[in-house]
Amino acid sequence: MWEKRYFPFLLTLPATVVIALVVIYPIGYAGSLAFQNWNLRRGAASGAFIGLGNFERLVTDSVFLQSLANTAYYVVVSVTLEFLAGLALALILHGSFRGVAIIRSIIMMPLFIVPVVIALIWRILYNQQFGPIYYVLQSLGLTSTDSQFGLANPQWAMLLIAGTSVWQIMPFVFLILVAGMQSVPIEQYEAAKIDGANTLQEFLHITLPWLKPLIMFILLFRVMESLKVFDLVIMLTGGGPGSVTEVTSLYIYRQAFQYMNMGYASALAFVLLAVVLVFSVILIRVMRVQKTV
Amino acid sequence: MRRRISRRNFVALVAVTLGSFGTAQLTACGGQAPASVPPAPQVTTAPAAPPKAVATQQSAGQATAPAVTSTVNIKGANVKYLVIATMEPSAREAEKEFKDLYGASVTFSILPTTTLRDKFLVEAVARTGAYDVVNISPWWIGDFGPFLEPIEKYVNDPKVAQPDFDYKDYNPDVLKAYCSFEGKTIGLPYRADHMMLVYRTDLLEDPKEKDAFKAKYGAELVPPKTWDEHDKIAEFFTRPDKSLWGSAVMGKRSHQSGAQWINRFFSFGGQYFDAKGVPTINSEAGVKAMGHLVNTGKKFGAPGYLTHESAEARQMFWEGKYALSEAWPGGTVVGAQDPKQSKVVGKVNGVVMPGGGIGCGGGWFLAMSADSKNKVAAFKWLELLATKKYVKRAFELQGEMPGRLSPYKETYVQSTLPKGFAEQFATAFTKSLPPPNRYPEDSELKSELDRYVSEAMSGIKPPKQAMDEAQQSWVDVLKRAGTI
Repeated sequence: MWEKRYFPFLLTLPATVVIALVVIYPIGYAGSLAFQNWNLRRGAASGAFIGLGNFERLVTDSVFLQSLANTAYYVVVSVTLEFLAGLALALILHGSFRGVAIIRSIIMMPLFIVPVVIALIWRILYNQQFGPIYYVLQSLGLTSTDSQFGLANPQWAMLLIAGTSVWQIMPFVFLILVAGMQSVPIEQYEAAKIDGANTLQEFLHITLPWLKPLIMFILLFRVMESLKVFDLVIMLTGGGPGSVTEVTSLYIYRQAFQYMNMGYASALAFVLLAVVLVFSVILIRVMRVQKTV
Repeated sequence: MRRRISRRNFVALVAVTLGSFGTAQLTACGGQAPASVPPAPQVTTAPAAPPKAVATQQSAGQATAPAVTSTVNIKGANVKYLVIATMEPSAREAEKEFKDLYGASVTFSILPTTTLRDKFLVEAVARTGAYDVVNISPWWIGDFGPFLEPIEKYVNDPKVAQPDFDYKDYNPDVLKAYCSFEGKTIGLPYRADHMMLVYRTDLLEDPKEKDAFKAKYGAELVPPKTWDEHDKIAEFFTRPDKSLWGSAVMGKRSHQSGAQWINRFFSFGGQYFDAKGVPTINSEAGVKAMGHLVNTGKKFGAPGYLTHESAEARQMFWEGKYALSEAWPGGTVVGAQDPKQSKVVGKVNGVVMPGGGIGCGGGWFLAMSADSKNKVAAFKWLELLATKKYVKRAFELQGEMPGRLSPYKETYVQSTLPKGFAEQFATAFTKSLPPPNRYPEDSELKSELDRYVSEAMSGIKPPKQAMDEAQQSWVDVLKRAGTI
């Protein structure tokens, strides 16, 4: 009886210990820092307990609040566009026709490039001096020479970062949706055709419901990932112009590793964590629903 | 009724929850930071090495080994040296001599600039003594000052110091501005680099251009000594139809944009702090400096200047698209002489910054860790690297501008650089000032300054408002730290 009830848990003990050491302890430590005014450069002496001081500060920290708004904007735009672009491509390319494998391979390429390299590529593409995008737009008379073009434009900078993300991530969405579409039983389409359904009706009443769990997974996973965007922003704009593209993870990075304000950075990280946690709980529930479907 | 959770669901819940915790922490801790993470403060540009033929020819027969005359015995000692990659070659040569002279060895830890700062700071704060000697930027003194060993007692100890080292070869003002913390000298200048006004000689010395300039402005076309003169020259050469612009501006939010504000700030009479340590950056000089920088970009910068950092500005200057450039000359002037990357070979020179020559200072110095377990050996290694011989080799092999003054009178420097440039560089070296580098919060102050410079340059805020907010931000930072 004892063995049946407790032995399985005993087997998980080594993994539990490892997780406790490498995950739970650092989180707990960061949690304790969140309540201290600890600047690494001022040494241990600066690590005074300040209660909720760091959390009170972040509520009035205009840069942090702007970073939250910037992050939300980035998440909404990039995830929406990634999904729509991936879905559109998946609908076009999920069938089998001559050359489809080559086209799919080409589409998948951005997925295998390091994000920093992607940022460098797009930094050049967006460049007003050397980049082809500006050259084409100027040739068409769509922009003037003295305008703030591309990443220099406060109105466009975040949108262009999101655009870069779309190029990078859309193949991931495409891959999952194509796999999902190919798993739809062909009999359902045949039955629909016999009933006189057109292509749009097939999509709305067969393909979309079939893909629903996958779509939920993609959207939630991408929201969680996008909330933590860092590399694209730091490489493309460094958070500028001004703070227009300053996202939360970049601000946390600055506080932690540029300014060495470990206490405040920990408090900020826990706020981001709380947001990510909400989406992770939703993800778990969606996955559970998916399993029972 | 309470719903029981199955073990499987429990494990899934824990795994995803911890996963999200972990990823959020990684984000917070820079786990996703690319290798080229930016704001590693300061760091100027890596200088380009002078043409090999020149370096080889000049090095032949001129290097003399320092004789061991101090009585120090460090045989068998091992010095751990934290160095940025670009400085390695000459140090490798010195390593052999260190072994021959003293029977001591050196262990190199070679890191990129930004990683070096973080790595050393973590080790220093933990007091591990993991490194004995390290290359430090003067911009980081606020960060590292408490963890560096003052060197006076070694310099003044005849049993330790090399008698022929020539410590008088360092300018006292330079030592104070770049290598001191709380009144103590904490290192020796190694690579000098500070912003200068670099210009195209084929434009500014062209007789036709000179005549046209005189006809238009009633003044001689010569390298500018004031910002007004700078503006006239920049305006004169801003010719977009010929893909030529007046003055290179680095408008991307980075430490480079802040450095350009500093170039103007001191020349307009500004000071970072008053006598009580309260920031004064929104003074008349600060606002004027910001306004001037914004106008320089708008009027004389090439399209896209708001996305440019030093690499883009330098490349455009090398391609002949700028007449003037506020630049780190260690890279821009020396590199301009390499025909593989430059279209303006032999057409470049530089002068001190307009308005008195006080540009933003940078460069690197050599320092010892206060937690070094072998300080005498560490000092001897630092000293060897800073000898005239290895300063020369660093120039020849890596193009590093000497941190000493005497090399600027030597043939090997003067013959490699444009005529008169060495003197201008040495003058600028003694006048330039780095960003604030006295408080642990300096990185935050600099970053905030960069942010508001970027906001003003992008037109998000007018210069006055940007400087007022920057001032308030500095005050808030220092108040939180208890400094004011």
